[in-house]
Amino acid sequence: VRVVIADDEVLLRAGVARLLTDAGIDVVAQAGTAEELLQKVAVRRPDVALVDIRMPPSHTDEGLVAARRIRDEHPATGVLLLSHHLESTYALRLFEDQPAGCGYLLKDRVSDVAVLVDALRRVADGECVVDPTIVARLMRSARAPGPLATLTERERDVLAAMAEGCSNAAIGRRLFVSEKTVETNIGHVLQKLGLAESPDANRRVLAVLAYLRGG
Amino acid sequence: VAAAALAVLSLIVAALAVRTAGDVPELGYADGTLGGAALLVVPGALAIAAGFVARRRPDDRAGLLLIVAGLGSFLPELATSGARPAAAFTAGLALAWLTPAVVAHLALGYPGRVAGRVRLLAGAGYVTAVGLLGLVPALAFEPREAGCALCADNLIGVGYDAEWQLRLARIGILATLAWAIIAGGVLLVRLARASRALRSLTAPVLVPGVVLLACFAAELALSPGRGYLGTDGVDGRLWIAQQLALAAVAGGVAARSVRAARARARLAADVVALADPARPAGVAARLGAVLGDPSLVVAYPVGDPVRWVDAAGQPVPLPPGGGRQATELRVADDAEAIALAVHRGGLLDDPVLRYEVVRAAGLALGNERLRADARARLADLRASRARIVATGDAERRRIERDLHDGAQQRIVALAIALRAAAPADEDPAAPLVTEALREVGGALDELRLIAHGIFPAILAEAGLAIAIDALAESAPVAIRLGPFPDGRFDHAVEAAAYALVAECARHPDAAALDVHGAVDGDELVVVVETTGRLPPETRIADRVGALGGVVRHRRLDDRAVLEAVVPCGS
Repeated sequence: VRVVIADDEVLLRAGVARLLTDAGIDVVAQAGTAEELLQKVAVRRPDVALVDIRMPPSHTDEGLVAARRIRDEHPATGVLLLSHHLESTYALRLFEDQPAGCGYLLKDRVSDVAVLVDALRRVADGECVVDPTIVARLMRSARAPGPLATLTERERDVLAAMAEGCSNAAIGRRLFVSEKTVETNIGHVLQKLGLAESPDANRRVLAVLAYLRGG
Repeated sequence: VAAAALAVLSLIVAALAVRTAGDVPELGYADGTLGGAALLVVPGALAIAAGFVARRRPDDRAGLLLIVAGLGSFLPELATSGARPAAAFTAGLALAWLTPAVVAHLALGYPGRVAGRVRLLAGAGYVTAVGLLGLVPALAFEPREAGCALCADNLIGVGYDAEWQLRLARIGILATLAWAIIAGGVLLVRLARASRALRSLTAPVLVPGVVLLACFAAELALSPGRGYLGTDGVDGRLWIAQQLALAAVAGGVAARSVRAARARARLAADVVALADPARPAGVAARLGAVLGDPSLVVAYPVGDPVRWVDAAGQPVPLPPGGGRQATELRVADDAEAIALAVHRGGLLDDPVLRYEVVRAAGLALGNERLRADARARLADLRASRARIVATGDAERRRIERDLHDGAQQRIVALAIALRAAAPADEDPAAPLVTEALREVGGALDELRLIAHGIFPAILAEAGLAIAIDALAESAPVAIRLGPFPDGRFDHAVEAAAYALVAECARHPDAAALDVHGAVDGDELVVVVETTGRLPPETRIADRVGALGGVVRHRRLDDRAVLEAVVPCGS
């Protein structure tokens, strides 16, 4: 997997680059600003851009804006956004038009190289990645609608995995069950929540997240 | 006392003048008829009466001058041969031409007092018309030696020389003529240059003043050859014209007094209504109505250094633009201004009108000034409250950023370094590193929570509706967001509304919240409803109050409803 790293903190950027290189990821370029990121992406055509949401000049959501531009202008390049924010709003703003090839991880994850590499590979494969902490927070949320309570433990796990963007096969691997069983579980969950079946796991993420947010 | 003495003196002089005219009708200005006597006495009497009316304003100079001018108008008659007693004749000789000098003095200063170089010109009038034309030739005049058998004694005569007397008289005539021409010219220039408003105020006095001076000058122009001012023919008609002009001057001054008094009466009529606190612009509106300028604004001085604010405590821009003018209103000339009227140009140029306005509305003005002062202080306090809240917010936001961009980045970098340095699993140090990494993860979680608690970044980045929606994800109680304006507001407004909802959600006895909002005119209304309990008003009212808004609690069946109205200026 070929990756461009964008973070304005040089030390952190270099550290992440080293970790990823050690893990066998091909870090093709690094950028300190959103503008530099867009240039490097245009030249190097990476599989994934790993982007910090806060970048100069205002340190608010420059990374998010840059990420959406990359998805628009270079559909072949996936984006994994690193954020400090637990609010699912930010993730949804990234996925709004096109969840495939997008990921939203908490910044802390960069030190957990296994999680980071897994997320990078999934985004490179055109999947959608949502940080488990955010999903867990939504599942816990006091606003979570009533039907959630009717789900079994297993179904809740399946729902969380769906919200994190896992494919059916990935859910099966995670829960140590067959893909067939997963499909059955998903059918039950969607039926209980009153959501339409969607063969596309990425579209499913949007629907499930929106449901969990109470929208 | 002085006024009474002047009145008595005027009566005596007038009586003497009438008697003189009656005794020797062929020698004086007035003939022996009733018409002649009227012509002699009425203009002066009018001037004295108008003078006394104007004197009701204590510092009015025009009144005093008018009384003296009226008194002076009786004197020329006493300078004629038949005047008795000697004191009257002597006074007539010396002071016969006092009136033109006084009228010029009055007109030059009108509607206020003479000032600057015009003062010299007014003074020159007395020097020439009284000194050179009256007093000096009188000193060198002995009626008997000059061949006037009928004349009374000249009490101030020091000798007589016909040639000298003629020469002195000619000097007086020419000097006075020159002065009269200059003074008349200055008045004409002033009339021509005055603004329309000022001209409408001064013309009733200045025009007859100029006419009087012109007639006087014409009379003087006839006289250098003979060395004295005659009483017959053209001279007589010029005198009549001067008397009429004096009456017109008196009328002009009186009209002004009447107008001002009428304005005062109309203002005084509702001085009680003006004190009504429910009408914040009461005095200004009333003054505007009485003076005929509906856009009139009254500004009051508050604070130190002084700022000018209207009755509502809002600052009034000074100096005013658009041809408008600001006039200070004060109780006395040397008192501090109690208010400033901002009006269309020239409206309050008349000091008499100003005086009457202050006299009638002074109490209401003072009253309203106190209220304006209180309101201005309140506005200052509110602004300072809002600034304190804004400063606090800005500081929290800065700390939140510092935590993310400083501390958090370093800890993440530390975690990466630890991970990179992690030894192989069989190394005895491996469990320690794993433990350290777990601690680092915990520190990052806590840091994120603290930073978010200090300031929700999403509020600044995405606005109120999205931030409240996001709040619902982590709040201990369910928050259902109903219709809510999704536009952006001022930082302070957004922060206040967010803090309100967050505070409600944090309340230990809170239940599910229903939140909705709307923009009503230039106010943002946020409503929180719950079946549980809401925090006490005081806790949440501070931020809203700092922005000039209000928080209201009410109950709707079994639900507690909290409504915050925040001015948002959109």
